[in-house]
Amino acid sequence: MVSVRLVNVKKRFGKYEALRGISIDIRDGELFFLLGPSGCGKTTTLRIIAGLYAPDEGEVYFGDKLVNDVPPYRRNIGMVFQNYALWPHMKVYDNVAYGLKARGLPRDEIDRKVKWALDLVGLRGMEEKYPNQLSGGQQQRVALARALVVEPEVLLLDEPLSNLDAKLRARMRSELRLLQKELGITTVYVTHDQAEALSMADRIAVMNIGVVEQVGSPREVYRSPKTRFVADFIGEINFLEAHVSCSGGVCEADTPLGRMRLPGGSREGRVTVAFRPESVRIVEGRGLRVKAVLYYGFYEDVYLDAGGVEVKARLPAGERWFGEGDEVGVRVEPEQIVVF
Amino acid sequence: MREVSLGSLALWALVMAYFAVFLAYPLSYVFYRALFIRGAPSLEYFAIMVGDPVLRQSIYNSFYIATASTVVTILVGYALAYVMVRYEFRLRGVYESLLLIPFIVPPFVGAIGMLKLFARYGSINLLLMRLGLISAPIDWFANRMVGIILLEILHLYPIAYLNIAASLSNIDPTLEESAETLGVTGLRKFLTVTLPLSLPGAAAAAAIVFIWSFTDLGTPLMFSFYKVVPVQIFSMSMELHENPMGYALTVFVLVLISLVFIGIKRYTAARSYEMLGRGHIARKRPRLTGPVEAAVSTLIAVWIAVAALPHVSIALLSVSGRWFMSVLPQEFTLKYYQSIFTNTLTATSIRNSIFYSVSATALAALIGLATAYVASRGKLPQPLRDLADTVSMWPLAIPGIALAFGYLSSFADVPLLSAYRDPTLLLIIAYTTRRLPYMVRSIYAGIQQVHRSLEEAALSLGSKPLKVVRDITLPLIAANIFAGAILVFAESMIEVSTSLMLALREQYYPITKTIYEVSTELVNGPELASALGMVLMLVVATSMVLASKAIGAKMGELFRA
Ligand SMILES: Nc1ncnc2c1ncn2[C@@H]1O[C@H](COP(=O)(O)OP(=O)(O)OP(=O)(O)O)[C@@H](O)[C@H]1O
Ligand SMILES: [Mg+2]
Repeated sequence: MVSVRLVNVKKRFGKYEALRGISIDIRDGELFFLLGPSGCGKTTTLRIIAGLYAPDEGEVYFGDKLVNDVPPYRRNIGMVFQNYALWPHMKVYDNVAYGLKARGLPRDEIDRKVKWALDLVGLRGMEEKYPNQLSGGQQQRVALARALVVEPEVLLLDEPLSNLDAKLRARMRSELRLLQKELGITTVYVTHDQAEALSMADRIAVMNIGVVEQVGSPREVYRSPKTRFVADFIGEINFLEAHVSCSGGVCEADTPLGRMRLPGGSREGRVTVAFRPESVRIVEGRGLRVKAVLYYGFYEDVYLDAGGVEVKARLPAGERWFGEGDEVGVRVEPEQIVVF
Repeated sequence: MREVSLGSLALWALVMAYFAVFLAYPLSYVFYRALFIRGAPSLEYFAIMVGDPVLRQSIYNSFYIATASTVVTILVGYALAYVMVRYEFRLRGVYESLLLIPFIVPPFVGAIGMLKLFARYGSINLLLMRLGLISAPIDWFANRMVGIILLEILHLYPIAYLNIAASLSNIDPTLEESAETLGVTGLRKFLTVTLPLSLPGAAAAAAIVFIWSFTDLGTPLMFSFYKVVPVQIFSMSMELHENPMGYALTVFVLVLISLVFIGIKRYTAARSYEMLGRGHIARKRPRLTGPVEAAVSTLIAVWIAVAALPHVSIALLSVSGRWFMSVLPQEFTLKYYQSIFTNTLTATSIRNSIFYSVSATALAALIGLATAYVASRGKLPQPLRDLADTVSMWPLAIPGIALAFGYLSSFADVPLLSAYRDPTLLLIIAYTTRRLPYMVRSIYAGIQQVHRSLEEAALSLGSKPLKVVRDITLPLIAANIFAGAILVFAESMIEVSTSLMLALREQYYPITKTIYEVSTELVNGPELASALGMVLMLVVATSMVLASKAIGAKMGELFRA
């Protein structure tokens, strides 16, 4: 397999600068995610890796090899398109065999590999069907088989699960991750679904209009977001305007919730403090009114009003001892707080 | 990976070279010869044109024919479109297709039969006399322009009907409903809301009908009516060396057409309304009942019967053994169908037509594919792609007589392309050029439906671009190529103006020219010509069925992903 490296890649469409200098390092065998809101340039980045777009500036490396001028058909990649792009005039078998034929493999080897790939995705017996005779989930698997069968050095997936219903999507998450780990192919996976990225990725690059805001493991981007954007985009989070002062290595923030202890070494002055709803502990006290409680089965979301500022807390169901309208206090551990 | 590929650029250059040589050059040549005398710019020919009584009369007659045809055609087309779009009534579904049939056969073939029907002792007069409605025969076409106008109307009303029906069904029902809520109904609502909103469609149709009837060469020739612009250009094309007026007259036609198009474009641009929220509310088609339904249904049936007269008449003529002083033929025979395959002139022309048309179809498929491909997928700057697309549509606006005149004169001394030596290649290219827009449109539409990712998937799996075109793009647009090819073939078989003007010697005649030549022969001329005409109709009808099958069934199936 191979690592993939983008160095300061820029791409414009007419006047619009879709990528404003993207640098990422994707490790050999890694399941790497590009995550970001719609229009931030994920697909553009993926297509540059595939060679379907040429970057205006910057370099793309596969391993140590500069591939800027290598056309897609020489990059040895497998790509699953968002709409699957199955050829409607070819049967499942021919769709999957296409890349092997293009590589000029002998017929019996093609046969063997196609069977292997269809087995892999659980579609043996569907060889003679046309794509429009398959369900959405089956089409997705054919697309995957077609990309995998050529044993690509890099697998590129553009929102491969977004056309599936919620149940199937959840199941495919674990299946895809398992498969990727089994085959060990360097994989770049594009999605705008943060739950998909958090649950599946080895590492995630969080993108925001043409730039990468942070690269890290799911745990890193969730627990220690580097920017306000990352904190906001991934999971749910409370933001509070605050004023910080430190003395003797201990920092405290003045917030609408009252004084809060911060991790050591925090910036002083006007800042924004942020913490996840599940970090909020609700304690007996005064100052916050319970506005609403929403029940979700295994957890409950509690909306608190702190003098006009809303704060959200998330509790495991059954741990609640207060009701709507009550007055309460809150505690957040310093290590759960991020300062921007 | 480059954004501009040399392959695309080469293909683009090839396509543009074709249009430069076979469209821009001949027309520029005509303009040059009309506007320059011995190298110096001069309008002298146009002064002569205005001064010459025959030419002046011809221009007047052409305007007369075109204007009258347009007015009646638009009125009929509007009435038909209005009831067909707005109401439900008995046989509406059947009429929907029957109404379109007349457009597929060139009117000049029908002229043979109409001359027979409306002759002094032709079927119509005999029938009316037998019914006691008239006592002496009427000379229907005493003014031959009446006959020409009638044929133009019967041929062209489907264009008006289709265009106006489209713009009527585009009107958002809420626009009329809001008039109703304000208490405006009936004729007033029609005049203040419906009519103004449908005028752009009617205007576009009027432009097409006007230009078509102004430049139709075949029909006036069949009526031996020579004082019209197309026939004048036709006869001047045969004396190019002595008479330069043909250039001026052709330029006159081209300028006139440009003015009509510019006028229409201005008019519709100023009056094109964005239809708000289209498609949200489906218009309900109220059902006509009682005597109104009967009247509407009958009127349309009568119109369809009248429109079928030219075709019915040549069908009858082609099988009539004896047809003299009687409403219908007295004896029937198939001998004319036999003769057309044994008679040297007719048999040769059938072979010629098939050869020319098949060759034109193949050439149009190649150029059409190249044009549609660079226009939609070429790795080229957008303006270059748009240029190829626009230029490929130009032939739609250029009448056959102008193109033929340009070909005849500008290539007169070019080996292989000189119509005076051997018009084969020139005819093939003329057919190709005239019908290329159909091919380009058809293939372009097909490529638009092939999602780019289908091609990119193949690229990503290791196929080179040319192989991707062969494996993915071509198979997916096969139905479109087929449909385009069928259209080009059929239209080439019935091509009139360039056939009449470019095929100068009998051995090279295509069917249409032979029909014209044969029809004037005294002994059985009209019958032979009719039999040939029937063959053409059969070819066209079959082609249309095949083409619609290809696009309808196959594509629907293919693109349901
Ligand atoms: N071929 C193109 N021509 C012009 N603009 C483009 C083109 N492709 C993408 N863009 C623009 O570049 C920006 C990034 O597009 P891209 O498709 O990479 O977004 P994305 O992150 O994949 O979004 P989504 O989640 O909606 O798929 C968008 O603003 C888009 O409009
Ligand atoms: Mg995308």
